[in-house]
Amino acid sequence: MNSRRVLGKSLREHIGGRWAISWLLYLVNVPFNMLAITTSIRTEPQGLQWWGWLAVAVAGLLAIAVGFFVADYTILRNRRVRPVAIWVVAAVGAAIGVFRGAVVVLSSSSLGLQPFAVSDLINRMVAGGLLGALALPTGAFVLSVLTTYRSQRGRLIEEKVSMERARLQERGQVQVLRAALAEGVREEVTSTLEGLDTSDPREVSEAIRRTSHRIWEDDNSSDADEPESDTRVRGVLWTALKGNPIPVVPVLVLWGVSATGTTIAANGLLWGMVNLAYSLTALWICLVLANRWIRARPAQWSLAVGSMLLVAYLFVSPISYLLFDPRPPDLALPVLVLNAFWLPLVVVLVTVISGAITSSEIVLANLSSDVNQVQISREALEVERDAALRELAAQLHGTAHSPLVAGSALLAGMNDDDARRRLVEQVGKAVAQIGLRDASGSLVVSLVEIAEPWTGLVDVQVEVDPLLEAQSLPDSVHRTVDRIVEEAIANAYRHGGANVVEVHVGFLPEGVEIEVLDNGVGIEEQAQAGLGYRLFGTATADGWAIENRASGGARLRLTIPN
Amino acid sequence: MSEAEAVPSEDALRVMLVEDDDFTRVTLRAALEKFNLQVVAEAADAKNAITKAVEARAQVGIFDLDLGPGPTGIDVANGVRRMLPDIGVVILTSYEDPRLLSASLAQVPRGAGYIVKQSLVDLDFLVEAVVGSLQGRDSTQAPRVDLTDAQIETLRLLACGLTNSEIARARVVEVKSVEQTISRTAKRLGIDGDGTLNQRVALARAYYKLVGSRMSPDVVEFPPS
Repeated sequence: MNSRRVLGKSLREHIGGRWAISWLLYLVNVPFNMLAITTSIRTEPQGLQWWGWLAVAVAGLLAIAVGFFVADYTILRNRRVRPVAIWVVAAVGAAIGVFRGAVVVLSSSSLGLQPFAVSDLINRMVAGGLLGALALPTGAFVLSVLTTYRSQRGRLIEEKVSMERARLQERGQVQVLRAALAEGVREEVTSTLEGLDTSDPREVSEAIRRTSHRIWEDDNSSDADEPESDTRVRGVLWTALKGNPIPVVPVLVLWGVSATGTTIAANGLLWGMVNLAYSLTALWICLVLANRWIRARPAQWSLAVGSMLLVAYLFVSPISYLLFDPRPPDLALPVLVLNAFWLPLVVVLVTVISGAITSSEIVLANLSSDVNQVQISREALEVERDAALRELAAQLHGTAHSPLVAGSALLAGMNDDDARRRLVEQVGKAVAQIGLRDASGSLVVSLVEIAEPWTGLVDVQVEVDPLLEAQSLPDSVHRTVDRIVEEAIANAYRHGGANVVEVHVGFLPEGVEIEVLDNGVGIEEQAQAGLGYRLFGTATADGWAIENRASGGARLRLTIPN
Repeated sequence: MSEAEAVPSEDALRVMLVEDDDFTRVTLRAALEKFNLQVVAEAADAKNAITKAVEARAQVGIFDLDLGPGPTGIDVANGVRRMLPDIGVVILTSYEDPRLLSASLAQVPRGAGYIVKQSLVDLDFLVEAVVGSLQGRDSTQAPRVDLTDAQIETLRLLACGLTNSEIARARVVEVKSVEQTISRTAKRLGIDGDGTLNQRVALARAYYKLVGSRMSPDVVEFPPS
């Protein structure tokens, strides 16, 4: 079992790792728990007391919370470092389920909602234990797979997007894009100024500010159209639901386990088992029929699933009620309603989970083999577009703001409409020009500019974390990165005799990380370069390190704190 | 490009020019060809220098020290030497001391001539250096002004417009020591602290004189009021 790996992690790592206990799973469990309490409503000495049962439901929730809390701080405390065995997670789930079952029965009897019965207590505890033992590992597995997929996809996409941005930059597409954006901003500013009473600088200032804010926010409102093959998490879930047949056995197991306790509690052992057998058989037939339909007409999957579930529900719940349930209709209604939710949910959940695991692996494999080039290109362009728009907005807000206000004061003195229009045009052009000077904000561009004069002597490869590019670095940090890279390239060439230098600039929460690798003679033979080393020392808080690489050459690493 | 126009004799020395200032390069080329030297390659930056030098099988390279941001003429000369180990090197510059350009300068290549433009009153001298560099004799040592490395670096940073505390930060020393260095430098350069002249301005001017640049005030355009 452990040899099976999903997304590069073993089942033990998925189930027994970080997600073995998570409050996210707890939140997911809340609505189910509230619904599930309806199955407990059995006999009512004094008629239906909704508030009482609500209190019981809350008590059940609290019981689970206590179980989660205790497990989180005791037996599962070190799971992030060393994943626990799957059976441990199942046992924890079982214990929590048993505890909840007991709490529900005891609280409902002590509130006088129903008489206490030992058989009832045992039924509930067994049912809760079974469900918990199944639900906790399953939930952990699903959450872990989804988050693993997300982070792996994120990493791959980031990598691809930064490659793609470099490619776009080389091909000049970015310039075209930026020119188009700058043109748009120019028009916007021009039309803003044209419709204004330019004699009031405050009004002009306010209008420019508003325009810059609008541009700034514009980049968040643009992801309306979905890409064709969506590799985001929800895209994968969607695809999983669409194409795949329903996994019959897992659905039967999950549904059966969740129904066992309640059915036996409601109908007694013998009739409960008969009821369960009937329900499972009916459900099995429905699922098999549904799958035949899905395989025959994959395009009409929703129709197939929907109709089959409806049939299944019609067969299972009301008939089993009529046949086996001794309760009056007003008490049984909640169970029927619950089933109407629970059964489709089990089917959809199981289908999505099993499909998502397969399709996420396929998607990741595709991503790494560049099949999704179009999507990556789009994302890269979007990143670039966002960056450019933000830059334009920032420039409009900062650099261009005062000249524009000053310009508007000039406008106010002009009566000649023609001259006015010309000046407005001029101002707009100036803004567009500022926008085109894209180098100002981009670390990649400035580092490439630093590396460029070394062409012929040193082959410099620059790689900047897209996270860094996405945010605007403080000027001082940007300048320091520039100076250090400049110094490191010069040192590698002058003292190491290197002709290949790799510069990686990475994003850390605490600052900017710079790594410079070269293929020179290494550090023993390098002369002490006074300024360079002193510069590294002043720029970094927790020092810097230079060492020889196993493959030859030196490796400089330092972190510039924020 | 215009290599076909030059008609030097068969055994003329094959010279390459690396100089980022177009005017200087063109003038130099014309002058050298008068002395029966064949200018076989010209480049304004490191990128082109190496390929051109190899393609043209240059025997001597004349390198400007200050090629703008990035590698210096010395770096380029070292790069060319890797490909053509026997090439003669002449550094032609306005810097009276290479240390004035950068604090972390590489060694001047072995056997290289170093000629300061301001002191070049006779072209014979340049030609002599070119020929001398090929024979590998140290025709002219790089001159050194009478200042320590620390004094030169301080002077350079001061001339860049840094305050004393900024210089101290850049050099990782105490502000007090920067002050001392500055006053010693002033004394060495003969700048008296008699109060008639702003010492900082005088030092900056001295620096720019040493690197061969004339101080003419920038023309500043004021915006209309």
